[in-house]
Amino acid sequence: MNDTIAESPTVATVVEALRTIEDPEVGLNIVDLGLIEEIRLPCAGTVEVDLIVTSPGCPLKDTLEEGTRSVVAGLPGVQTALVRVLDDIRWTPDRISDLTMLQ
Amino acid sequence: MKTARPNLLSVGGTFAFFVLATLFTAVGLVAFGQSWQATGSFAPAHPAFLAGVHALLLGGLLSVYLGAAHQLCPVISERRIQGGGVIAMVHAALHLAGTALMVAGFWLARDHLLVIGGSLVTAGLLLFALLALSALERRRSWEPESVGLYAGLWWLLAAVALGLWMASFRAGWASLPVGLEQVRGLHLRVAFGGFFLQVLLGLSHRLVPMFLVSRRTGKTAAGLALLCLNLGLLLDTVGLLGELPRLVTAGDTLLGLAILPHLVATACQLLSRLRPLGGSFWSYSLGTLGLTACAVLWLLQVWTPETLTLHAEWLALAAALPLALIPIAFAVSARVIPFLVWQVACAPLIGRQKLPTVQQLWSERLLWVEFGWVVAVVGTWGFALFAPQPAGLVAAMVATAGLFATRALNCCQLWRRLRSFTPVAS
Repeated sequence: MNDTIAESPTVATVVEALRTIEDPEVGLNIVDLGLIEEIRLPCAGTVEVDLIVTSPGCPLKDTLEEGTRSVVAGLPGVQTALVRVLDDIRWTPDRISDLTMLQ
Repeated sequence: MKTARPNLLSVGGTFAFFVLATLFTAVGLVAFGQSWQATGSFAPAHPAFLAGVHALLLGGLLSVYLGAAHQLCPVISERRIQGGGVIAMVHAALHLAGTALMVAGFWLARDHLLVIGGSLVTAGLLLFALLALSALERRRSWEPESVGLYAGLWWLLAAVALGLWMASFRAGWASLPVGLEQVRGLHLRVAFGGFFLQVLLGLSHRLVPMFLVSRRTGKTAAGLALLCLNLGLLLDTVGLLGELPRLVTAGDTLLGLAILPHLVATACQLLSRLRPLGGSFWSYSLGTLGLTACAVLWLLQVWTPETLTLHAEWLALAAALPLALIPIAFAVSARVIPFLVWQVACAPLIGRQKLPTVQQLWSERLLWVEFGWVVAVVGTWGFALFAPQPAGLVAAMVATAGLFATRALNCCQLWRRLRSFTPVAS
């Protein structure tokens, strides 16, 4: 028996982990770029992430989806990582975080 | 240790097309030079001129388009095609053989070579059309980039069919319902306006590096441009085949005006804040200005042909190649090449380790050097075309060679940077 079962991650932990994924074209991480629409923790060990991409036919859609899934699944305490790419929400430059715009 | 597993098959066709484009562009410019040397001007009657135009358009620009389109079509339609990579490679082989035969046919004035070469190019395009349309089947989109790609494809097939028809007529194997000049005029308009401009203007709002800021302006401009082009071409088709000069004038005017929204959109981009790959953006802007100059020349020959010298119609198209399409093709490929390399080498490792950005793969300094050569290409070719002097032509050739050499250097640099990036254990 493993007696050091990791606790489920918090939304803040997931956000921090997702900051390691950069959009290769813009050079900003997907959190500051505004690509994360929602993060949900419906039950222990399960993390759901809703993602959007910068344009409807973004060639990086699959790459970002897979990268997000891989990062979230790699967090301690995560048994199931579900990532959805939302096609009906359009990304606009307003979604870039203010802090990033000031840099 | 995790290593990237590059899917070379998926991008092999694209790279093959890009290599073909470079080779045929060099051939086309040499043919242009020979034609100019023989006649002292750019006369469409000279076989080397037509060889040069087809090497540049079919071998150069069409190859760039096809290389990118084999990647873009499945992306836009959000559908991966089984065996798409293999089809792209077969298409590249057919395109190489067909274009080489066509260029030789024009240069040596052998009409049967034109028919065989044209048939091979058509076979390759039909293969591509099959791929593109099966990708389209799932999701029909009225975004300008989709309309540009797919409507452009139909006009391209029409242009190739018209070209084959003319070649068959010249070889004595077919007859024409109207004069050869009318069919040639339609072929020229359909190929250039229906395909090259349509694809370029359709994709423009995605290609301009700063599309992030004024996306709506770019999209509206692209939509307006496509409307002008398609309406103008329909009027031209009816006017030329029905021998109705007023319709042709109206159609030609719309073709010339199609550049206007794109010029406005590019100007709007200048005011925006995000400017990645600065050198390539300025090349793109310069190409847009060159395209505008050609459109003005085109409109002048439509409305006041008596004020211009001979061959103004051809000159407008010949000028569009070095003054507009070469700068734009270099600007666009400066975005596409490192992106494709990133996708092959880095995408499998995303989220597992720190990766370089696309911009870090490309040398920003060399992109600015490229921009310097683009300015030289536009300046020297403009001088050679409008004030023909032997020294001007030599300067134009030197500038073009410098541009290509810089791009080759940039690709070597990209390769070196990629090799210096070593995957780490996860």
